[in-house]
Amino acid sequence: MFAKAKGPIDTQEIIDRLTDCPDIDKKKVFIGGKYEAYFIYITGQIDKDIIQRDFISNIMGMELEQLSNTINIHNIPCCEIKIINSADDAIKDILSGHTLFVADVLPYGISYKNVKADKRNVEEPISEKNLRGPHEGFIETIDTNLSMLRRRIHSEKLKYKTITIGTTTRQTVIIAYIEGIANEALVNALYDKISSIEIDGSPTIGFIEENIVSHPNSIFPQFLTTERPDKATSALLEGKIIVLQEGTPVVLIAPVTFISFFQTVDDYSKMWIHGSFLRFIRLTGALFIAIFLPAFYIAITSFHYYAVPLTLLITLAESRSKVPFPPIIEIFILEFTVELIREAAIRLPTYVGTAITLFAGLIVGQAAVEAGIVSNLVIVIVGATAIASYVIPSHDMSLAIRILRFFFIVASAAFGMIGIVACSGLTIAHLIRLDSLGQPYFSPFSPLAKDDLKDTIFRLPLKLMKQRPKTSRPKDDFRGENN
Amino acid sequence: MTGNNAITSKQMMRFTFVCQTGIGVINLPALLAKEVGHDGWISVLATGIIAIFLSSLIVVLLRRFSDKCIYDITKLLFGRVAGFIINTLFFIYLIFTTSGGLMVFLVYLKITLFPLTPSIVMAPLIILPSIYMVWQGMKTVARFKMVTIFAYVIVIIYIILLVKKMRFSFLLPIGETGFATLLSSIRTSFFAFIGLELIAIFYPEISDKENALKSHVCANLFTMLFIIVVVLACTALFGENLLAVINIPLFNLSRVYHAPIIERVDLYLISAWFIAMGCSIRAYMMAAYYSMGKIFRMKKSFLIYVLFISVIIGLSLLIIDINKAFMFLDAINYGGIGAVILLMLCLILSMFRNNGVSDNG
Repeated sequence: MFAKAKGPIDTQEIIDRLTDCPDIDKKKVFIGGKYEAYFIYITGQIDKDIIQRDFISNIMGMELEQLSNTINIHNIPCCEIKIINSADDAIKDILSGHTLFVADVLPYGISYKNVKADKRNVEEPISEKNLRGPHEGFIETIDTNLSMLRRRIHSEKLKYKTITIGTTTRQTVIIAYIEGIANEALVNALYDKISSIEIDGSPTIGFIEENIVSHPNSIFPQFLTTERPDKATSALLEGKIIVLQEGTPVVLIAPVTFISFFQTVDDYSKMWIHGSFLRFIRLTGALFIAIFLPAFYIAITSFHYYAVPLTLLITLAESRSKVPFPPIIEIFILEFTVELIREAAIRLPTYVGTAITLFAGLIVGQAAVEAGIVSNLVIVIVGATAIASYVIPSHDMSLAIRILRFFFIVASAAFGMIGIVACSGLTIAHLIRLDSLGQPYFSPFSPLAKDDLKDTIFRLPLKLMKQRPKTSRPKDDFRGENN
Repeated sequence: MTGNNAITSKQMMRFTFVCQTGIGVINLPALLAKEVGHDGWISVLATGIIAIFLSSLIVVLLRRFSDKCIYDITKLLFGRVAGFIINTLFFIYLIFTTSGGLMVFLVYLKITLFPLTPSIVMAPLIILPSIYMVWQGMKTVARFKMVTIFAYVIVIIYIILLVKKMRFSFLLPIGETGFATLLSSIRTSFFAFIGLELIAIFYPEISDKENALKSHVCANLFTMLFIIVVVLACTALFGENLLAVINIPLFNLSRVYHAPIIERVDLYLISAWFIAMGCSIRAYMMAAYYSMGKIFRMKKSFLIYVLFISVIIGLSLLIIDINKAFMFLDAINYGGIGAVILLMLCLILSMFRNNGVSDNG
């Protein structure tokens, strides 16, 4: 028999709402041997030993009068203990991994947080390797991620704003920023945007990203994603804002520019000349080879053959003479095959993936040429293009450039160099039009921000970069106290 | 000032510079060679000084009406009906200039890269970036001009590479053509400076009006210097006699240098310059579309925009012969001179009217 509910929490209501949830344990106890009470928790998310030692034994050692006094509750020697005043909050805490103590005779519930969920070890993210930087990455547990950031920034100015999203999943999303550096208007704008997301759940951070970008129909990513805490820390120090979500190791960085997607931690962990060399290689590879090379091949073989030196023209003609298809079909066959191999290699287990890559490499590299499907030169071009697109550190940007390449291929097949020029114009116009959290995406090139050019095509010495990038509109423009 | 159209004075400067030089510089050396021989650069210098003076005057007069563009000023000066008629004429001029620019672009393409492709196929492709940008507003159009500057850098570097091939004796004796001929050639040289009037349309959108005068003067100064460099290079390379019979000297210039491996530098140089030409057309297209909204009080409508683009493309396809296209361009250039004169007249008249003048005017 339940005693009549005294407080705002009806034990029966909670138990009813948690029916058919076998993962949630409802341990019945009696206060002073008389009044029925419950400890409710998710079996797989708590540390039973600690709960029994620190929470259950302390609660059970008290009489009803003692339990009814909040001072005694706060004196229980547990780190995170709180009073709960509604059934909704009680359920919310239970589902977040807290242990709840409720009894109808008590005017409140008592919630104790000691979550011990299974979590992955902190490891270097496989998609963002580096040579000289730290080798740890975010994991799926948000508390661990927050502590990683806090461990790097020993300042009370590192602030976290919490939002709960997902009407069903009720996930925690946190906006991290450094007070006094980040622009608060941007922080508030981002907070409002995320708060207004109407969604039942966000399995990945992509759900948030797609809901808050200004241009969801653009092929270019407008927020930078990373799994690296060092990269997130650098962004915070530049006045940028980080979005973390419970359940994913990927965080969002905003606002960012087009060039942010070509910057890596390694650029800064080496001497500036080395960093600049790598940056230059990456940009040249990404922009000139990954986008333009196949389009140039088509334009030159289809329209402007006179632009090829005579010796190369002979080789080109010989190579093309065995191929029955026009250059665009030739390029499309090979590009499409490469995309298939790439996709297959990602999804398959490593040992199968390696075999597939080897097998596909043989077919593409040799058999296709011998069968007269494609020419030798196209193999070189598509191979170089594929490698160049791997050079881009951001997978999102790499994907954008791969898609863009197909537009350039079609344009060059139809109109030669003019097609490439028109397509370039359209692409740059689109980049100029884009914004990331309201800040111009193609800055510092257009609109021109001279000071920010120091960290674009080349990475100039750090002593020249005493100003924070203007893109994030920082409150404090200069790094350090004496600048 | 509205969000999508708000620009800075520096952006306006680049806008004016590219608008003036993108198409204007292509055949100007040849026109000047016909008129003043090897003294074309002197003509450009003299015209540049006049253009700078006129530009300064325009901005000084516009300052009196800081929140008003030329279309508002004409209504204040001449009344609603007459003002509307003058504004409509100005709009027609802008439409024809855009179409004329596109027409010349198509003719160049026919001569240089695509002799067989029909213009009706090329026209939408060429203005595709413009269609996108003008729809987005003046801010996007003005920001793009920054990117165009690289085409100018390429041309300057290219000219530097040609210095060894130049014969500077082709430029001597300086001033041989005589004062009277030089004076009459100013009209031709001024064609390259048309575009300085566009500031009167966008003036209310400039956020830092205090810098507008300096920036506009700089725009015309840079135009003058760039054209002088191109005219000097063409004259020193080809000589006045050959230059006078060349249709498109800038493109002929691109065929002079033989680079190893690249083989045909002209293909890349012309392609790069097409960006500048596209920008020049876009400047007028933006001005025309913006003016349409102002004069006819039209709201942003996709249907009207499609119609607007169709008219521009349609007009540009009327002439496909190079000589007729140049005649058409000449007519437009005279229209441009007329527009500048009309603008100056309106602004000078406004000196005698205090109605509508801003507090600090």
